[in-house]
Amino acid sequence: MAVKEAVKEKIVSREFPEYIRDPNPDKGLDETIKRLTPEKIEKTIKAVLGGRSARIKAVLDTCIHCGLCAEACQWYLSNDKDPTYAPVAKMRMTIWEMIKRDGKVDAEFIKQCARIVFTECNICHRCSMYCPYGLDITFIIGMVRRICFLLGVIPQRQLDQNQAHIVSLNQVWYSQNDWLDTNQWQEEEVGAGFKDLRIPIDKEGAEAMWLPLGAEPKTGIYHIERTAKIMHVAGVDWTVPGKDVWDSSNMPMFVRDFETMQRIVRGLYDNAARLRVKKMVLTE
Amino acid sequence: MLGWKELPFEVIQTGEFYYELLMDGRIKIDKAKKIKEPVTLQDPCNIIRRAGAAEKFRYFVNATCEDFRDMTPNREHNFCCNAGGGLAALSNWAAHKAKGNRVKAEQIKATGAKIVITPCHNCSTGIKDVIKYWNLGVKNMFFDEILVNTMVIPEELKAG
Repeated sequence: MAVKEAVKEKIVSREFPEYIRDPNPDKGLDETIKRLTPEKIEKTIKAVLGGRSARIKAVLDTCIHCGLCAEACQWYLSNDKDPTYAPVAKMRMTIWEMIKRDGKVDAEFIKQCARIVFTECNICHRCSMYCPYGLDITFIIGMVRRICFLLGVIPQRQLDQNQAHIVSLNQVWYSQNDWLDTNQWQEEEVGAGFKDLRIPIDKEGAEAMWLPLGAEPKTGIYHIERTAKIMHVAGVDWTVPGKDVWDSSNMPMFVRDFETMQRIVRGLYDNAARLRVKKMVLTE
Repeated sequence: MLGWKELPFEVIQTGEFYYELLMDGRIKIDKAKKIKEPVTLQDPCNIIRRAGAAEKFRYFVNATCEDFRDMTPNREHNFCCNAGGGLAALSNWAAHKAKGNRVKAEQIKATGAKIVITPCHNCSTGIKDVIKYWNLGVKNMFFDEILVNTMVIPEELKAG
């Protein structure tokens, strides 16, 4: 298919000349590596991988480099079986190299790792199903993400969304007012067509607590409208939480910001426990 | 997790909840309103591969659509939409992502479906990118949209 990529210079990896990619400018990768020092990189890698856990060892020491995972990966299959897209190659070009060089890698290398783990793997877990040992390859990708995240080298838009989660515990910078107001406005709007339609906020003992994706009350308002209609027609005793956390998405989980990740999960569970609901119904 | 050995509540996805509503008979489908166009279903990695809701989703789709065509491979062997793992946020990498998911475009094309159903918003982002980049000329629909369009709405619930 003819697409706009004419005469662009390719990026060729220094360590792995077979890794050739189109450039894709991203401030989160290009600018942030300027802040790194070799000491900082080494210290961070050792902090994450230092006391190597059994879980990490199980993957790194058991892998026999058979490459069966390659055929499982849509990145590999879609890019004409380019071996640099194989899951095992993604480990080899990142974590194995870090370990081999005992954490003594430079900023450019970290940038390359970040590109691999943040933009060329979906942590979809398909490779593990095709691995003869069932190794948790995505867990290793996650460890590399953790290292890159701690070093601040992460695609700008993922970082933006993560910052939103850190501050507001949802991905769209919604305040509690925005959230409550959106629900009440929708209740009026949808309610006009139905008898006694409610979007109950903070109702104790409800059967189901509905938790949308953060973007839904902001840009996908019709999801609230449809959900209200479905719940009303089915006669479900339902509720939405009036307090944080109500956004069921979790970018911190993907970028391995464990601290914020657990604040979100905890907030969701606390809401369910506080309202003594029977089910948490998440859209994600 | 978080101090509970066993959670005092269930955690389910909306698609699984809709399945329950259909099974309990709390929602009835109007046969005349069922989707006539051929549809296919994107199996989300986390809900299918890791949480096993594949059959529930198929029950839902068969109940609301007349012509359901599964992708190959499907269920827990399905390919990711390429928006998973936080890649949904990377709109400045859209071409890179869509190119990296040619297999998904081929999968969708092979079914001959006119509508790709996505149970989660994340998958919708990925599938829309794939549809646009590879000019598939198909539509994307959500579970809630399909259910609202096909369910029986009793007269006594309507206003006025």
